[in-house]
Amino acid sequence: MSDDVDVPLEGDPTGGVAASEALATEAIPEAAVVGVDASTERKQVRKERRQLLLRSPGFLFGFSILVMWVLCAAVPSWFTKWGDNEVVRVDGSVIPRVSPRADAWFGTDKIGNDVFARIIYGARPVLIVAVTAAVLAVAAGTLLGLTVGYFRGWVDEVIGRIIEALLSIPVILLAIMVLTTLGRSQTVIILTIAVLFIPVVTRTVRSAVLAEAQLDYVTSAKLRGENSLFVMTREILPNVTGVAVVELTVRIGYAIFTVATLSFLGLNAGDSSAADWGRDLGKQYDTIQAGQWWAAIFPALAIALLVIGVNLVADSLDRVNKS
Amino acid sequence: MTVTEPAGIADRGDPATAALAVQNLELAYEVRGVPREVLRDVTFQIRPGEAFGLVGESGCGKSTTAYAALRYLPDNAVVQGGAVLANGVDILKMSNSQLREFRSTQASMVYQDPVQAMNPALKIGRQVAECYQILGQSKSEAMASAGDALRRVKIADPVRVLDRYPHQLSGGMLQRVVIAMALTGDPKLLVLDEPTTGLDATVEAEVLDLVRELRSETNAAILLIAHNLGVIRSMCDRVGVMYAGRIVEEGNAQVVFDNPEHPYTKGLLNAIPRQGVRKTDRALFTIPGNLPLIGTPLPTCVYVDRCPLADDVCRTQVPPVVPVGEGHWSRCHHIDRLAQITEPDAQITEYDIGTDNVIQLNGVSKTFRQRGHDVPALVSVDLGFHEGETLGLVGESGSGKSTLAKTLLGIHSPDSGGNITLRGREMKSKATDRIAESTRAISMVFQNPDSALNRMWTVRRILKRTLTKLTDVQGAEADRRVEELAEAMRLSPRHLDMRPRQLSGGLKQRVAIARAFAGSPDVVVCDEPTSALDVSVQAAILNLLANLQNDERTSYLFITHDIGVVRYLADRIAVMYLGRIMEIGSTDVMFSEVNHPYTEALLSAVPSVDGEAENRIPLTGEIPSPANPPSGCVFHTRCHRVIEGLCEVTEPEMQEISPGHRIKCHLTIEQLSVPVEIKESATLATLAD
Ligand SMILES: Nc1ncnc2c1ncn2[C@@H]1O[C@H](COP(=O)(O)OP(=O)(O)O)[C@@H](O)[C@H]1O
Ligand code: SF4
Ligand code: SF4
Ligand SMILES: [Mg+2]
Repeated sequence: MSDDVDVPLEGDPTGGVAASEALATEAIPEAAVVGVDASTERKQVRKERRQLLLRSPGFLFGFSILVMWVLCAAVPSWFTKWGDNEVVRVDGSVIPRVSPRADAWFGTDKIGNDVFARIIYGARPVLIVAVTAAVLAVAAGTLLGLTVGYFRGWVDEVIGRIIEALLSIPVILLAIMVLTTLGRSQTVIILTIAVLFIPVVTRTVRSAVLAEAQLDYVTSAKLRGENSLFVMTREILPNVTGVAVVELTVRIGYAIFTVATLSFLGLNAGDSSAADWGRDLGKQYDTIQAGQWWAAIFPALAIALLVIGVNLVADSLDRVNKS
Repeated sequence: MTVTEPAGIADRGDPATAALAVQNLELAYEVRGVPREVLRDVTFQIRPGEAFGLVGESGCGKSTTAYAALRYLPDNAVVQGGAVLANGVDILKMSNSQLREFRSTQASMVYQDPVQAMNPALKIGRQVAECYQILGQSKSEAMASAGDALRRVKIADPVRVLDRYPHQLSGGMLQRVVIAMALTGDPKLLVLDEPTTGLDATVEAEVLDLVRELRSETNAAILLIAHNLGVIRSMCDRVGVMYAGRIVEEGNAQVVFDNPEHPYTKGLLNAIPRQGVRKTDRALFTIPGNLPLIGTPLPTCVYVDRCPLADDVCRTQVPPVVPVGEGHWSRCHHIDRLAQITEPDAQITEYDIGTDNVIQLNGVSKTFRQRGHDVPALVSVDLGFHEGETLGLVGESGSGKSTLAKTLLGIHSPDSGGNITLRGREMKSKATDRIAESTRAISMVFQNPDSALNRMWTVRRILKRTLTKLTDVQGAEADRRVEELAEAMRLSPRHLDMRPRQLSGGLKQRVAIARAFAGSPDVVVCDEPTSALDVSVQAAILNLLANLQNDERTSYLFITHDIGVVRYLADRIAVMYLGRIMEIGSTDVMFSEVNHPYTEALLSAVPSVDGEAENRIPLTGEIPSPANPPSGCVFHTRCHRVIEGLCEVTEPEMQEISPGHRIKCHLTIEQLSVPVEIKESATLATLAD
């Protein structure tokens, strides 16, 4: 995760606070001695931005949540002695539907699995699917947005219409249709979500590119005879990476939600008894009526907590980007 | 560094009765947790009905002072001391409800950009009426008041304007609306922060006339901030000169501009190309060095680092406030030595101008298609550039100057029929189709360096890429050339590894100029390259351009709004209106012989630091839409010399009134020499269509 944090710091186009201070330095070689060396100054700006992030409580909170879930996904066995699919036995007997207590913090479910262990093990599938799908969607959407935003014309018109049409249908509906047709391996789920997110990423990046393409540095590049590929990838792309990174964090949030919803509906990958927050919620929510709230509430909370963590980080990055 | 205000500041009467009395104001902006001082001990007073101007380089604290006057301060502003009295009440101590009351009935503010002052999604009528509804009027009353308000700011058809959205109005019209909104509630104090900076000189002159008129009508006190010293001179009774958050000189505006008594004021005034000075006479005066960064602990005299008179006394003792005349003071140790600051020596430079045309435009037209209509933005333009010559191009916004430049550069392709030749050889119309030699031969310096330089590239990369792309110089040789180029632009080597945001406006423009010169071009198109810069920086850039031209024999197409600048730099001047060249001639004859009526009006609109122009010829209404140009002479709808029955029917031919001086008008030299009478009714603002 720490990579996601560093990129916009370096890539931030706005210059933030440094700009107002540099405002006053008019060119006179004699005065050059007062300034600091360029790369030191850049490092300084980066450091100050990092400090700004680290001082924001929202970022710290969100980031801690993410670190926690990533650890759970990476090494679940650190957090629980049970396997995800292992029924809890006390003195050799299975104890289904017990409420939270000292030897089963979150209680056990219908079958007798430890709900806490299911939560810990459930982090991995949702993170893998959501993050991979979002990365793919942002990569493809950025390329597409760059192309249509730069060339405009009929390609832009056509793709714009397609995007509008796609955006008017709920993502979940489309996903259900695709997954029921193509089956539901992890690859298919990842690709489906990625493809469904491409239009919205394209739209965001396109509008950033449109604004950039208006600027005179683009004109200047064309005037010296640069080809379109160069202008797009070397001149414009670096100026829209900040936008793309923020878009990535936002998309990860939506992807988590989408994955969870699909599994709730039974459209998840992998073996049907493996830990999965969405599906656990889907399978266990009838126990609430019997007064056994824990088996359903904890997966729901886990989903919410992860989405909140991602959104807090996304918001703070966006704010620092814009400051 | 608090210094209690020494005795000597002109006694302006009881602060309790002043419209605005800023007293020993100390203010800082908190940046990353550290308060950084911006205003230092600022003290001045505006009496009821008086107009007070504030001048100084950008970043010196003018806007902060303006915001403080209404307490519109950003969240990170910290007032560290002092008071801001309006009619004796300290607005810094008001409660929020008192403050709201104060702003709706006592004082209001007009910002630089009228577009940002308006909500783009709401019609003008709704937004103006809202101001009256706040004052307690009913919806229908407020709408009626809104109409009256627009009439008051001299808008000819308020009903139609009320029904439009902000983006459907021109900048000048919108600024009138904003002023109308500022006048609801009859404020006693009007704060105007660069109200005309984004406007054309002709529109600026109209808006200033309006403010002047409203002022005599309402007797409101005015705090006016403008970077154009001519505007301040023509509008204000008194002026304060600010440097690094401190007022260093204050006095009667005319007296201060005629006889500055502070080295900084003198430097600013000397930096302006004025009194007809030309590049062939002498270089422009520049103020070396930079405004100190905000929050730097300042030496005893704030100006010591850049002052040519600075000595040990200045470094160790706080300069006293020295009264130098009636209500006029200066904060300096060495007022007696001011005469030592002189303008650069007269140094006759012969600019070697060739006789052959490097570039020639023959009958070039450009018609845009817009929503099914033809919009002729250029109409049959013939123009040639000699080697080493500067051709100044002037005209209001929308007259086609940028279109001409872009057509020359190959950004727009001209209509078929005309052609552009480079040293006698016809060039392809599109930049991408041109051969390498043509691409190298023409380059451009843009108006806004923030837009012109890629934010993510270092200066070195910007220059090197351009150099290697346009010339055969590659590798280590290119690195060496980049360093030479930077040096020629007086950029230091450490700037090469910076990115644009780390540079000031002036430095960025130097980088842009370096890039334009990287391919040793024959022609450089400069589109208002100094209009975003302070006068002191502008002077350095103009000197640089003049020197480069002299060394490289480059031709310039120099587009500008600033008559002083074009007069300084240009060898010939062309005046455009609605895509046509109306007048062209050498700079000398343009300012000595008779002019085209349009030029006449343009020249008379310029507020000058040297004093009032005798007779301003108002340009009535807005420039007509090029989609629907007037019949006959396209200028006839606004011409003060129009011949009824002829001008609206027949388009005049270009006539040569003296060698090289051509005018597109029916009138003879004799007729043009008769002074014009100005009708008062001619100042209403009308919609363009
Ligand atoms: N791409 C375009 N499409 C349609 N009209 C344009 C375009 N570019 C310029 N124009 C019109 O051409 C006229 C001249 O514009 P411009 O050359 O920008 O004037 P100036 O540089 O003097 O401000 C204006 O009326 C403007 O609206
Ligand atoms: S006090 Fe000294 S340094 Fe300051 S302006 Fe006067 S002469 Fe210059
Ligand atoms: S031709 Fe007529 S309308 Fe045109 S500028 Fe001359 S006098 Fe004015
Ligand atoms: Mg223009």
